[in-house]
Amino acid sequence: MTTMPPTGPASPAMQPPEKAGASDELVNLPLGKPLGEVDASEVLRASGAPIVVLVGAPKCGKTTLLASLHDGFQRAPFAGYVGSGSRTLIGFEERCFDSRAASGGEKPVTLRTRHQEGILFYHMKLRDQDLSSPIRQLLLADMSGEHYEDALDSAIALRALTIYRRADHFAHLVDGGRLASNHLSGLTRANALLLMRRCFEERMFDPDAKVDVLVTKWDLALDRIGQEKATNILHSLEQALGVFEERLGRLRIIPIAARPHYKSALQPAYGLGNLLRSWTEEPPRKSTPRERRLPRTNLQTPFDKFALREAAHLYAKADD
Amino acid sequence: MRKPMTNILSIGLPEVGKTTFLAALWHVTESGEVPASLSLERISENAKHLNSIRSDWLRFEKVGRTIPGQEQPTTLWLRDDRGVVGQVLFPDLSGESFEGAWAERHWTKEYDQLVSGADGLLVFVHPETLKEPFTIAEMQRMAEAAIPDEVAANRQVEVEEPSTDVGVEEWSPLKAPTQVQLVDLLQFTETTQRAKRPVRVAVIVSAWDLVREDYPGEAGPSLWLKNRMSYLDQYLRSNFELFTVRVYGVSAQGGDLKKDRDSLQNHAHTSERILIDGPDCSAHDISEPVRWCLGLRETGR
Repeated sequence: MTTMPPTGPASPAMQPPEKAGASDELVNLPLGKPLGEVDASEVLRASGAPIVVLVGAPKCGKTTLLASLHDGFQRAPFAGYVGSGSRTLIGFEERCFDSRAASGGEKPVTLRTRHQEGILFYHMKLRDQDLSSPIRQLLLADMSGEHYEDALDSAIALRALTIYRRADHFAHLVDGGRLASNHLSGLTRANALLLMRRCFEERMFDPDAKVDVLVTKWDLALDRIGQEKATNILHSLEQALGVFEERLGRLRIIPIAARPHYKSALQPAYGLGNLLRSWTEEPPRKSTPRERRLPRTNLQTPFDKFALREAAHLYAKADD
Repeated sequence: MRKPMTNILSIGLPEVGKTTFLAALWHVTESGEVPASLSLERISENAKHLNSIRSDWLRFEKVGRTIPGQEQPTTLWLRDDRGVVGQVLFPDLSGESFEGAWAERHWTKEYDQLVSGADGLLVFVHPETLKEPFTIAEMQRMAEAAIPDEVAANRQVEVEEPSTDVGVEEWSPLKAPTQVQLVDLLQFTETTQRAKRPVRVAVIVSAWDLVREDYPGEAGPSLWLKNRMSYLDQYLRSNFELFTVRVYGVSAQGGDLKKDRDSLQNHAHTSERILIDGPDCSAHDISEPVRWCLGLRETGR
């Protein structure tokens, strides 16, 4: 893979010893950034890595969860695994930086995923701590919270998120701090239930789909309303989501605190260890996502009729 | 029958002791002052760079750093007690070059050839130049533990909602923890060295005199790596199909050149100031990591 660099000349730091005449020829190295869909597909083909899609409203903690999984391995093995590398170390590090002391900040923050970045895949390689098993790989799909809001408002926007159907694990993050807030709990809960309902109406979940509703910022919820009321929030969610449970392979509701406040009694990455193990070790879904065809309703315009004639295979049959 | 040229690549970020190690190695192998060490079969054709850095080292001065663009290919013709080992190439590459490769995601074709031709890797780390992955929360907890009175005063403060405003400093790849940078640099070698797997790796913890007291004995350097650079340790251990690893603590200078100068100079031979701990290490034998990389030690222990 010998190519010219995409931009600019070689930096002084990269001049080779002695052979100045040949110094222009550079070898590109893996970028280390989050993967796009093409590169993620390559990882999938090569390793069969399960995909976890992280879904949730803006600021609900998706990127913090990602960063905490990477940070978990910086001091010691995590969740019974040792870190065996990653194709996206630059991406993880960029996400972690604002929570690190090196950022010079006083409060841990997280760089948000931007809408225009689309779906970004983060890659992890893990091995059991006793090194007895082969290396396992995992892909975590992150996207901005605006996608979530779009999906609430528009069925078309939701249908375009085909990664929801492909994912081996659908992690729906709901902001526990807001659920514990007097003025935001109603909206937060309603939106979370609305997304689930819309996903079912648009047949985004197959019968073997595994859905984890992650109640994030659990430290904040405990601090705001105490253990008893916070636990009631979980029970209430369980009741409300119970109607969907039998239509899924599995539904779990799990409180997490990826990066609890330093005064919280919760440990860093609270709840993430077991999640990581189940995401990594459960066999990927076997079923092929059902084929979805476009509905025939509202095919009124000349273009609609043209499209139906020319691409009939994309539309549902008349008797569907 | 050994192959005529063996290539041992030193990998490390700036200021980790790569050149000082090479200076001391050159002296030890050439002088014969350490009986158990590898020794020099013959002097290299061009020994100017080696002699220059050895002069610094012998004068108890800080050995000059390798400047990007002025990197020197250096060759040692070595032998052990069983006979001639062969010609060993030690490209003395600057730390900035490796840092640049991590940040800019490319390196020259010459570097690529050196990496793909490497028969062994010396990975250098330095306890005092580590960028550590401390989180703000960790720092806050440490501060709290250090000032218990203030803790009590602040206990009533409500846990704040995490902010999503950006931090004070702008992110750059160069601010990433040392261990993450080294793991990615080693990952770069994964694709280019497929034919030689597993490659022998000697992790050299430089300036070992600074931490030796807390990590005594043969296993001390391994424990230091596990405690201080856990992610690198995890990566190397878990990729045993790719790397066979030993960890050494090495102080090529033997101590602080200012504070310890008198004691450092108070040896019959200059080589006796060298400190080394790790598997199979004899006193002062800085050639042991090279011996390991060359396959002159069994992997069994």
